[in-house]
Amino acid sequence: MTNAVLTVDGLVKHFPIRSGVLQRQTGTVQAVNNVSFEVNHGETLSLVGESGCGKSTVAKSIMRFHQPTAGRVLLNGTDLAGLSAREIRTLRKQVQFVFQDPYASLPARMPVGEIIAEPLEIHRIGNRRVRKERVRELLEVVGLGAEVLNRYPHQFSGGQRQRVGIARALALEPTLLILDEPVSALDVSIQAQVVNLLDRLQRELSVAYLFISHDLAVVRHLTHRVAVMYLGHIVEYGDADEVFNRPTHPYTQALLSAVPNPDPHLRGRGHRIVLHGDLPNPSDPPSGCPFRTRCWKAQERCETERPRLEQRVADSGSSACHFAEPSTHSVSSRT
Amino acid sequence: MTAAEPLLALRDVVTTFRTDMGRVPAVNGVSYSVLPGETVGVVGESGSGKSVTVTSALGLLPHSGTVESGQAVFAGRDLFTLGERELQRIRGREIGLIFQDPMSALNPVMTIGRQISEGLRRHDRRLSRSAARARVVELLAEVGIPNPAARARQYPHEFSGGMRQRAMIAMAMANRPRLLIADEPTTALDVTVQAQILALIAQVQAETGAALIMITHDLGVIAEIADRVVVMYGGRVVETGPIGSVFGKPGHPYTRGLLTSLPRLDRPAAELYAIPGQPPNPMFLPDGCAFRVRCEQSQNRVECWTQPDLTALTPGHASACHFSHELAASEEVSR
Amino acid sequence: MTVVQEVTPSATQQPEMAVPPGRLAVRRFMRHRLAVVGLVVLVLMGLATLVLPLIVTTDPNAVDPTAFRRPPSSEHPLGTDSAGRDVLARLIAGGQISLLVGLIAAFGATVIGMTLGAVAGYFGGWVDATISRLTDVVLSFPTLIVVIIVVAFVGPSLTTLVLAIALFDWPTACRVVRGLTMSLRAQDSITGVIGLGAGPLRILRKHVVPTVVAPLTVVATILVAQAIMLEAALSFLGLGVPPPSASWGNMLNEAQSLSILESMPWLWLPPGLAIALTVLAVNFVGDGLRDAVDPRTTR
Ligand SMILES: Nc1ncnc2c1ncn2[C@@H]1O[C@H](COP(=O)(O)OP(=O)(O)OP(=O)(O)O)[C@@H](O)[C@H]1O
Ligand SMILES: Nc1ncnc2c1ncn2[C@@H]1O[C@H](COP(=O)(O)OP(=O)(O)O)[C@@H](O)[C@H]1O
Ligand code: SF4
Ligand code: SF4
Ligand SMILES: [Mg+2]
Ligand SMILES: [Mg+2]
Repeated sequence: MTNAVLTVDGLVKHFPIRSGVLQRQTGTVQAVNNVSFEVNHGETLSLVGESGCGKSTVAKSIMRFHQPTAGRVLLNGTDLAGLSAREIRTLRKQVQFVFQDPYASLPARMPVGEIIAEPLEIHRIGNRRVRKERVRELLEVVGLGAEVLNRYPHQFSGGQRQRVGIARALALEPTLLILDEPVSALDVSIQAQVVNLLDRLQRELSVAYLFISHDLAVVRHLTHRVAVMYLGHIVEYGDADEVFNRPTHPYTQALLSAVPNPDPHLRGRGHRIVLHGDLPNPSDPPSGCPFRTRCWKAQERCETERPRLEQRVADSGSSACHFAEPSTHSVSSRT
Repeated sequence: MTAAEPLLALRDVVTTFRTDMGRVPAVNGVSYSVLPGETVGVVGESGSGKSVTVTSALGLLPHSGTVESGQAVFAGRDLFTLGERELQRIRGREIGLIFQDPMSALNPVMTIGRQISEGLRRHDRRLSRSAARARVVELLAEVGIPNPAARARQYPHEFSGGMRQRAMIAMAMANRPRLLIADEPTTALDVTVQAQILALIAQVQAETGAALIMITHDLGVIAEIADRVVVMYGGRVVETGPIGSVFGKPGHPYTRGLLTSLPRLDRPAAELYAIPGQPPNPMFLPDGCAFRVRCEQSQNRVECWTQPDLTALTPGHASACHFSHELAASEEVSR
Repeated sequence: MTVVQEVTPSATQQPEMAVPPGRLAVRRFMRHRLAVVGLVVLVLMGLATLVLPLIVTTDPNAVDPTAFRRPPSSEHPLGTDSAGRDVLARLIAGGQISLLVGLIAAFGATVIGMTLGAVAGYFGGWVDATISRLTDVVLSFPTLIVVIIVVAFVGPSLTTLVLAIALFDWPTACRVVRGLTMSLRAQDSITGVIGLGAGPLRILRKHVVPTVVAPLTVVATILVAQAIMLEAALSFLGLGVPPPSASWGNMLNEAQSLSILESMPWLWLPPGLAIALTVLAVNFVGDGLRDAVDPRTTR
């Protein structure tokens, strides 16, 4: 067994498209295609990519919110497939989930104290008094005072609600937190508060994060390793420093160059790669390399042969491109 | 820069809403102006009044909203004194609008081409049907929609998010307006598509010489495109000035806090600065300076209990803080 | 200036957000003038059926052999009926029965509908298919006729009446709750609880039911009105509350002949008005509740 809290191996998730009165299957959305990665104890792996590229579907497959089409998910070395619903429920203690939208993801009719105690109650941990004590502790940990115990979610702001969501997720002392865009719905001035909280919790509790985000600056700030997704595939995977400083996949390069820089003095300085066209439809993906319809380096070979995610020559990371090479204009040259 | 006549000048706009909780002030005396051909960026957190300010000026408030006082002088006429018919003539012909969610602004049961040509013919009765059609195809091509003749015959739902936004831009610029107002035009889009749309807006502006009001909460976007910036907080303008000096030497603690709290792709920091507290609820703004309860500059000084006015720091750069001189005198934003 | 610290937001900073949704709903309801009037009428009626018997001490079943079909007088404020019983006393006693039947039957129908609807909506698949077909079947029966047949078989009694109405009037509630549960099921708040390891029973009990109860009250008011009408209709046909007990429908039943209708309005006008007023008031309250529960319909 390795150091991995979570191992995802060859994960595939296809959704049937049904139409007509008879609801016959008329196609397939290939949301996730052969995705593999590992999250190690106490570290953060980020899944980045544009909307619709399959990030949330990966997360939901891991949580078994739906059945994956193929592939294995191992939690601390245990394969989830073949376990009974009850056993999966027990294993869930080790992985918890934080949603993007703090408004929609908490039960509106429960006071915060009950919301945070709910996982403890479900798994029959402690008696009422012990649970209450633990809830106070958790509120303290996420930076909310115990005086908010009897308030309802609508009485909190977005950032505070996200803290409540995090406290609830921590109640069962999970080894892994899956965070699906946890700061995207928050106000700019609140994002930093929550990012700092996540940072501190990881150091103090050595919990591992699978962090899903489209905000590359936030990812850069928090993550140890990154997997870049495009159209259901991982196209680049490696240590954060490698991927951010010397991306070798054309898509990663374009993505990084497109992030606006909040320093007006740098305007027009960096090299911006403006892609043409839109994300292809995941129910009708291109042949060969999924990125070839928007790639400026595409050759004939890209049309016929799908590039595999391979270790790059000099680096520790890997990328899925026939012509992978560090760009001549790296992101850091934009500063 | 000589003091050119502003194209649009907002003066002390006050707007309130009737709600279940009573009358809510959303905009509390906002003034800013746009010169011909200039790009003004408006930033601020959700609920700071960015959108309500411009919808007030354009006569697009929902029924529950009322403009209580102020002026919105566009090309010599106060928009608040005009009737709905005159406003309609100005919207679309002289002022083009681009919204965050093109789906809600487009008619779902009318082809894209039809919608654009109706806009054209509404403002130019002599334009023949076929001439309008030809112009539509031209416009769609200009905004980078491939295969424009065929696309003109499609419905909005057959377009991707990025293409819909392009169609919106085509519609907004159809009558070569002198002013474009874009409310979060790229917030719903991915960074690579955002880069495409921002490049397109810049190109349209360069071709038509239109002025632009760009409303966004993304400081990066503002830094990339704005000449001047307006920072809003709690329904007021707290700082305004040329982008270089506002972002370089912010004269308001809020602006400074926002800028320092941003995670940076090019300069990852160990920890982020975070503005304490929550964005205010417009129903219960603190007395005096609205930022008082979150301000680390104030430290409960008595001055902050009175409302600070916008005062000039340098020509063109003004800030609404009693201690802005102290701030501006301190070192550049350390980034 | 860039001294970094993790900031603790003070939750007390937003006391304004503390208006609970419940109180807002009450505000919206109170703005609905007719609904408030309806509510007042209903409360007064309920109180009247409880309090008036202490004042009007006449026994509703006592026969006054000296007065048959007498018009209102000081002794019998609403006159007497064909058996010489006091109409006012019967109106009050009948009100107790009619309102009680309406409330209990509607409550039963609502509970049955809610349970089936929540189960169908939550589990989907064949469970949903089965329950939905059952709903369709029950819905395709004309309720009044079916209830008549059932009562005819079992024999009229208060219990039969309540059960028969409850057992055939639940589909409306079921459909509403099924729809709500299905959309709820797809929401993050429920997915989140599944992620914590909660089983279906707990989710239904702790999360689905409390959420659907508010919109369900609207359906319940309609059912109350329906049940009161059904009780009246059945009693009018002689299949409802068995005599000599009074109910508004019974009173109408006893006033069926043409001569009474023409010349003795005190026998049918009071129960008729009482039924109309109650049903109208219940419907107004239902309208108000609909707005109160769904903030989008405001203005
Ligand atoms: N129809 C409405 N009814 C009541 N209040 C409203 C309405 N529209 C806006 N408001 C209030 O007016 C204030 C300003 O809203 P506005 O939409 O201008 O914010 P914004 O700065 O554009 O924010 P965002 O970034 O979320 O678009 C907010 O407090 C908002 O709640
Ligand atoms: N339940 C579903 N049924 C059908 N298609 C789905 C479903 N969930 C996601 N998809 C599709 O799968 C793709 C990946 O979605 P998602 O994982 O949510 O993307 P991301 O989180 O990266 O934005 C998208 O094309 C999306 O439309
Ligand atoms: S394989 Fe070809 S198309 Fe794909 S990213 Fe590499 S160069 Fe571009
Ligand atoms: S006026 Fe006072 S409270 Fe307001 S921003 Fe300036 S220092 Fe802060
Ligand atoms: Mg997602
Ligand atoms: Mg807005």
